[in-house]
Amino acid sequence: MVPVEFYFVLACVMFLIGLFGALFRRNLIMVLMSIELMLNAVNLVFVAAGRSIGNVDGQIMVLFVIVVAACEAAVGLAMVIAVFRKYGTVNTDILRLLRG
Amino acid sequence: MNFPIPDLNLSFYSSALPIILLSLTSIIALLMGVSKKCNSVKSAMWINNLSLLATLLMIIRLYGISGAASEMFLSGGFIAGRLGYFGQGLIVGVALVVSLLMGDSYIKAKFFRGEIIALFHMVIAGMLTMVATDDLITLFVGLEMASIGIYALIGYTSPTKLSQEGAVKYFILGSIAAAILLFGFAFLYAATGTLRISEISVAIGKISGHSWVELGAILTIVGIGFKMALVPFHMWTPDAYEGAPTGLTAFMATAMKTMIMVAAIRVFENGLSGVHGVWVPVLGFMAASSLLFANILALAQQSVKRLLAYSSIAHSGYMALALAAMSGGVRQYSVPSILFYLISYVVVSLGAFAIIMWLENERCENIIVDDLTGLAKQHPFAAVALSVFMFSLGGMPPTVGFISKLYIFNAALSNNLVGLVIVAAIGSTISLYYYMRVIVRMFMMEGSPVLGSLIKPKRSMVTTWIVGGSVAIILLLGTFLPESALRMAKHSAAEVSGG
Repeated sequence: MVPVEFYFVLACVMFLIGLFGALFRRNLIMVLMSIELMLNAVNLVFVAAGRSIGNVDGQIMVLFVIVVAACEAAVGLAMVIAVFRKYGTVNTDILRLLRG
Repeated sequence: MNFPIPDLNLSFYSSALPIILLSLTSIIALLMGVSKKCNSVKSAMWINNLSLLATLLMIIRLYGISGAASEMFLSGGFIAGRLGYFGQGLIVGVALVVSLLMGDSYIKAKFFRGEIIALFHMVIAGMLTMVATDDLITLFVGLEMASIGIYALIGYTSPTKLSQEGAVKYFILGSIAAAILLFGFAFLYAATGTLRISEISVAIGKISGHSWVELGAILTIVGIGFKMALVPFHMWTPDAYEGAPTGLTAFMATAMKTMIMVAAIRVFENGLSGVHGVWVPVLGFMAASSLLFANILALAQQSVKRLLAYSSIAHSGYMALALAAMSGGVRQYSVPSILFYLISYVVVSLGAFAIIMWLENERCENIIVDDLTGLAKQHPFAAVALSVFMFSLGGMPPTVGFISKLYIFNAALSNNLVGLVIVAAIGSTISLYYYMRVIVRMFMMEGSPVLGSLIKPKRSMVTTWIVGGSVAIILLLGTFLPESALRMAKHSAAEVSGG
């Protein structure tokens, strides 16, 4: 059996990829996908830990995280559409009215 | 493995009634929004204000009848205790005041629509869930109910370029924060095998020196710091606060802060006090940098909302200071001082935002500090009230801002956090400059049309009452009555700090 720490390390790598993507990509769709990747890394830790402990709480949490991620994606895509209608692009560089 | 059937008896329903009622009114408001007959600003306003008032009375009653010990339902999913009711009462009170102010604002017809009220009530229900739970699943779901609803409210209430930009920025950084917080929860779960906050603290005692717990604690404090807007993670705050309609800014600055602080008290005092060696330095660093940088950045701000946003970051810093003092040797001061600070901050901010909303009504756009020039001549009452709020935010006696800072510093000093208190004192000295700038503009400068002294908003009963009420509370709590509010804070804190 693969030791549970391997899953944690993989999850950390996925999470960091997602984090850097969310912080440094300029395209809003890519940012949304990166956030989903972060949440999936979280799910991996929960499932792996729940499996190794022998406890279902982790899997229940995963279901909630999936639901919340879907809600977040819905609201996020709605915002992307709203931005696209106003500006004609989904690049974050155009969002520069608020600063200082 | 056996699954106990949750004990859904009458006492659960009665103690969770505020949340249930708000979820129901949310659905009713949504249905009213699509019906032909009841879809009007007036009906939305009535159902909103009445249900919030009923919820507030209910929470006050529940706070009164709940004893010192808290009661757990749904295997930790809901706690009926004084700390939870304290947070809930503050949140619903804020929501009620904000709706009353919205009812008198230029944005009224946009805010009192079925779908917006439905979102608003869902947000409040999420907040009420989050402050009264012992379970990390419920805490996360409550947090996301509140946050996702707020993103949508900011972007959707009055869709301008500014508010959409604020919403997008808040959404991206808020989602990243939620993911980081959740990653922390995942490692806490991996190390301790439970998602109950109270059981985590027991489990941590048994497995000391486990590196996954420490990673989890650090990620959790970073996620909470993001939501609390502490300095390395504060970038979203000014943008979201400036972009949002002012009523929602007031709601976010006060209700969101209450929610996060109460949840943070539960997580760190109840759950993670066993690994405080890991998260206290991180929190102390974030508190110190918020106190310095937020106050320095606020010096250059022109927009009043942005100025208040930086000031709210600095005030988060003060509360984080007391939170860092929580796991030292002398524990009984810190939670009451945070709760007292919350009361004072909420009252002062609501008053200040009420005046700003009232001034905005004339102009329908953000006002800047220069717009306040010569306000004392035209509206002496408003100018005096705004000066009281600024004095209180800056922490001058005889206002409540002074007393609440005193309690925070007392809590920190009794745990030997001398360096942090010195930083906080320097920060609050810096902050006096920009608070005084507002007062100088109002009282000591002549208005000229160039600087935009032509603001002449019409009288508003609601604003007058709310501003008058907050001035009265600030002065009373600052002079004669701090004891009674502190006693309430101590009663509420008894649940977590044991006295």
